[in-house]
Amino acid sequence: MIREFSFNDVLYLVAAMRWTLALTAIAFLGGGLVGLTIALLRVSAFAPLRWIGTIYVLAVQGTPLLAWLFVFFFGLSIVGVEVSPWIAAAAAYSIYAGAFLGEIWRGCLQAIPRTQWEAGASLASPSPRSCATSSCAGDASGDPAHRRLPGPAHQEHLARRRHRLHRAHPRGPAHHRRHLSPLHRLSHRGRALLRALLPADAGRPPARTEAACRSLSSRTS
Amino acid sequence: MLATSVVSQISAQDLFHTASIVQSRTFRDFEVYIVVAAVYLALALVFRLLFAALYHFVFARR
Repeated sequence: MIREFSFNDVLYLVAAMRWTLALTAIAFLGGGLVGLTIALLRVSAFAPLRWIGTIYVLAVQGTPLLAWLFVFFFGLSIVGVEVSPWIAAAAAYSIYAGAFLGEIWRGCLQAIPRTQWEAGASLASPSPRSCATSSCAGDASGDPAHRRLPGPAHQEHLARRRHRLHRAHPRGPAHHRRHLSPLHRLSHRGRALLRALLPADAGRPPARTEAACRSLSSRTS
Repeated sequence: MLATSVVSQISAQDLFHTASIVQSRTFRDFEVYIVVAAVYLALALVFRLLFAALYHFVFARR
């Protein structure tokens, strides 16, 4: 029986919007829980946890959403578990949104500069060790005693060590420069090569010998 | 939010599922899906506005 498309149908469609809004809320809440877990796994200092997070994201982002819906709705009913469409949808959307939200939040966590983690640590802000990111892993040991503010004597020692290191490697030791591109390292080598080829005093101001000083002063007077 | 339209495939009631019901009753595909598209667009714009307002209140520069 075909009936006419009337304004009532339009109202009916607009009223059906509430189901879509409810689904969106479910997907965001469930996906937020899964996504938080995935983000924390992916920035974990413990490598196997990171692998689990990576495999999860690879698997879920590499499959279509419809496949997950079918797995939870038709797949579970084949096994013998009857699930309502809403339960299946909630599970599938949580899994799917979790993978994407987790990746977004991992990026957010890793975008925080290392210096800000250090600033937080120096203010003794309570940071759960579970969120020790790969970027800040290794600069504070697990022992909370090492996260206290160093005493004056220790600060002096740290400052002296920093100065010594800076004098030895003005741009930081090589293992701190790992994040730089190979091209950058190459250009660094090229500069070293250039320095070896040029005369030793190239680019330096002329030595202040007595003769040079005399010629300068005679020119001005 | 836009991906939720896929649930109509497993007969969960949502906007798109309702649209298919209305479409099967009236056989006016074009009108039904134009209305549905307008509803989804309106929802997306409302969410945009909401999040822009949230951003304005939470991260506004003083």
